[in-house]
Amino acid sequence: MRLKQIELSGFRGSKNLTTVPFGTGFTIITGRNGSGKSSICDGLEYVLTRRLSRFGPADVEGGERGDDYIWWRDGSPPSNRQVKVIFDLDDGTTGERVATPNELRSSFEDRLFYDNRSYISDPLALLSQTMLIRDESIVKFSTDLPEADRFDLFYKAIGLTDLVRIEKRANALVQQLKRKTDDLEREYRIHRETVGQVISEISEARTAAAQLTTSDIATTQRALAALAGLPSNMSLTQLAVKVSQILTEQKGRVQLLERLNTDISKSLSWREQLQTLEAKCEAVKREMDATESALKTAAESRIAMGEKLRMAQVRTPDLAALAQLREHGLRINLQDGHCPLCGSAVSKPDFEAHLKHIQNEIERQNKTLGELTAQEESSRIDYEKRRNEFQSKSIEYSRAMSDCETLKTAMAQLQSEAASLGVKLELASVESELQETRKRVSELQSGLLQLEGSSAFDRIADLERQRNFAQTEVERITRQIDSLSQAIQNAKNAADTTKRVSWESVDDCLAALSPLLSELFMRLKPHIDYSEVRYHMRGDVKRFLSFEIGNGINPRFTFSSGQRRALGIAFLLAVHLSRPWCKLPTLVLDDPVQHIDDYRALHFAEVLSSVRQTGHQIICTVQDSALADLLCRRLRSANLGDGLRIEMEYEPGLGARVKEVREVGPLPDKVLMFA
Amino acid sequence: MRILEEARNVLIKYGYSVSSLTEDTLQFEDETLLGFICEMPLESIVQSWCDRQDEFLKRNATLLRNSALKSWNLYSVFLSSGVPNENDKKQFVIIEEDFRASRKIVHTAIETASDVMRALYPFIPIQNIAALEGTDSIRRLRGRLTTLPSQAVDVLLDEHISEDSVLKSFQEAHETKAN
Repeated sequence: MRLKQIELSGFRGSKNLTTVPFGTGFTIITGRNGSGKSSICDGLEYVLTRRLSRFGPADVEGGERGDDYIWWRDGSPPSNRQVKVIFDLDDGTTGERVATPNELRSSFEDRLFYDNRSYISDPLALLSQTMLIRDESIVKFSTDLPEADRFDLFYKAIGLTDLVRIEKRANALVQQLKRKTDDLEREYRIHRETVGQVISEISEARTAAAQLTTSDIATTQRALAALAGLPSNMSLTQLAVKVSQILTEQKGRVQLLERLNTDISKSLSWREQLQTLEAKCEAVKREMDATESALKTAAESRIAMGEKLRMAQVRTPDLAALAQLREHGLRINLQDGHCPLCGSAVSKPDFEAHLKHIQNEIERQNKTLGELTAQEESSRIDYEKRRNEFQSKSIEYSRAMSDCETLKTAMAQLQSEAASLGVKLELASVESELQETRKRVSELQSGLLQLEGSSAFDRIADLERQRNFAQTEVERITRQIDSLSQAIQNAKNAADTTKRVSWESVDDCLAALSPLLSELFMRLKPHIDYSEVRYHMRGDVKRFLSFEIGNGINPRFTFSSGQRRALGIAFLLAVHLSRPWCKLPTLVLDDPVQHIDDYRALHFAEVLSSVRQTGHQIICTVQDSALADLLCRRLRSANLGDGLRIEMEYEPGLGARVKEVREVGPLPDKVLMFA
Repeated sequence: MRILEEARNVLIKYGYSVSSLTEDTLQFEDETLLGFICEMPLESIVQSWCDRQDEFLKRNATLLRNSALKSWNLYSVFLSSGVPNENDKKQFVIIEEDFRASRKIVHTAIETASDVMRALYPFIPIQNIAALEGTDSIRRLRGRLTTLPSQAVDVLLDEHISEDSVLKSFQEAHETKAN
């Protein structure tokens, strides 16, 4: 897999779309400060991990964090915000990963970046961390890095995290076993408390039992069993329980008999009451039937009268209109011998006679309607009266019938109660049974009191059984705790052994890596007097990795900053070149030669050339244009893939842009013209 | 040891064209680099390195002028079996830090083929890339966990088995042993 191209839009120092191609062999990117060189490296890291490691969570200033500056935020907003990286995949196709403020999408699976056989918790973060060698990381992860962190970085980079997982698993196992042991310890304490309590109770019971003789107990047991109708061979405890139950039942029977006795006394008058009520029912029924007949007659009469009135009203002309006509006639009077109402010629006497006739007719019809209305009202009142009488009788009858039923139910219930108690419904029989039951209750109570004293022996036996059970549980739990202790010891041994083996493996890996580190150190030549570097590992609980030159000298405290950087680059390159799990052989260096003199910069260029000859794709940013030219001259090769020289520049208001992309072609093959 | 012969072998191995110029000098070239290697006594290096360089430049002046940028990748290499003192070392650093005309490499105290290889590091790929693999460590761990029953070791090492199962297995391992 190789990096093919990166496209930045609204990301870090690039506002508009900035497309940077990568040569399959190498790419040297140059430009002044702020021209966007580091934004390219940021983009590569972001598209792999969606974060920028150079901004830690603690990087807060004025309430703002480094993460707030991942996307372009100066002036007008950019048209797009995304980072796209295109990869040449091993199968000859291309794939792309695109990161936006909201998502990360990829056209291929993450597993193409690394070997699945190795267990690494966050492979892309580790890939990014070991692929990118930046000014910050040279300082942070090289000689200035605390020894423990340097060990951790190396440990992860060489993919030994299988052992980390196993060690974590073994330690988690220890914790689980300890929790389980704690639970058992709690259970153990509970059972031990039970044993102690039971022993105390046994002691008390024995004291009580000592006050009774064995013959007293046997006599009481037999007598009480006989009285309760129970087998004589029952244990004392069982007998006491059973007798208590019987006693409760018999006390309840006494209460029931007492109530039955009272009710029978009352019921002597119930039969007489019932006869009276039944007679009353019959009388009221007869009266109710009579009122019902009268009601029917009244209803028919009312209907007939209503019909008669309605017919009269239909037959009668409009009296109001007739009276109004007469009023007009009287007021206007005869007009030139003509009727003012119909205009016919008529004499005055005839006209007055007609008016009189109208008057008489009005009065006659009024009288007839008045009489019929009075008759209809009378029949309605009569009907209401009959209906009230009938309703009254109906209620009276219902009440009488209900009283009869209540009395009959009470008598049946009494009969049922007597039957359930097994006695006749007679006062003498109930009183006799009541006396018998009371006597039995008294005898049972007395026997039970004696028995309670003697039950101490049974209680002792029960308590001893409880103690034996608790003691058995204590022993079982003790065995389990012992077993768990052994398991904990085994798990601890497994964890310790894993840690030891993992450290040994790191030791071995460091030993295997040591020649590479020495070679890189020798190639970079950070110091005239020291041509070799050694690693040193120490620590039992936590491991520390440090460097050593000469006779036990720590370069961290003797080298200049430039020399320390050279050593740091050697270490980071060694780590980068020792990743068996990584499938992306691309080395990205972001301005790695700051504070390094020309002599060592030349060595650095030679080292990069040697790395390139191992098949790695190299991307390197440098500020110095002359150094960029040197690297291009030194890295170019016809056989190891294309080379590109890219110049970046800053455009006010728009940020970084690519000023020039130049292919770096091969040099003349045969200059010295060998034979 | 024949230093020059060993140097020739190394360069040829890594794809360089190599030819002898004189008894103590050979020239080399690949698609990127070119130059000469001179084997000489330690004490001659300081006095004659410049003459040797000039001689080579003069001999190839026309060719180098026509080589475009390749002549910038010109190397002058001086090898010696002699062991330098502190003063010699200082002088050699001065020679190496003189960037005029060619990149100079001075390597002394050469006794073995490895020393020759180290002297020629700027021309050859990284040599000591270690193939670090983590699988051996698992085998080693398994060999150490001999006090545990093999079934418990199996479940501990298998990441696909749940922690509960590992717990059960460890408990049972002891119980079985106890019984």
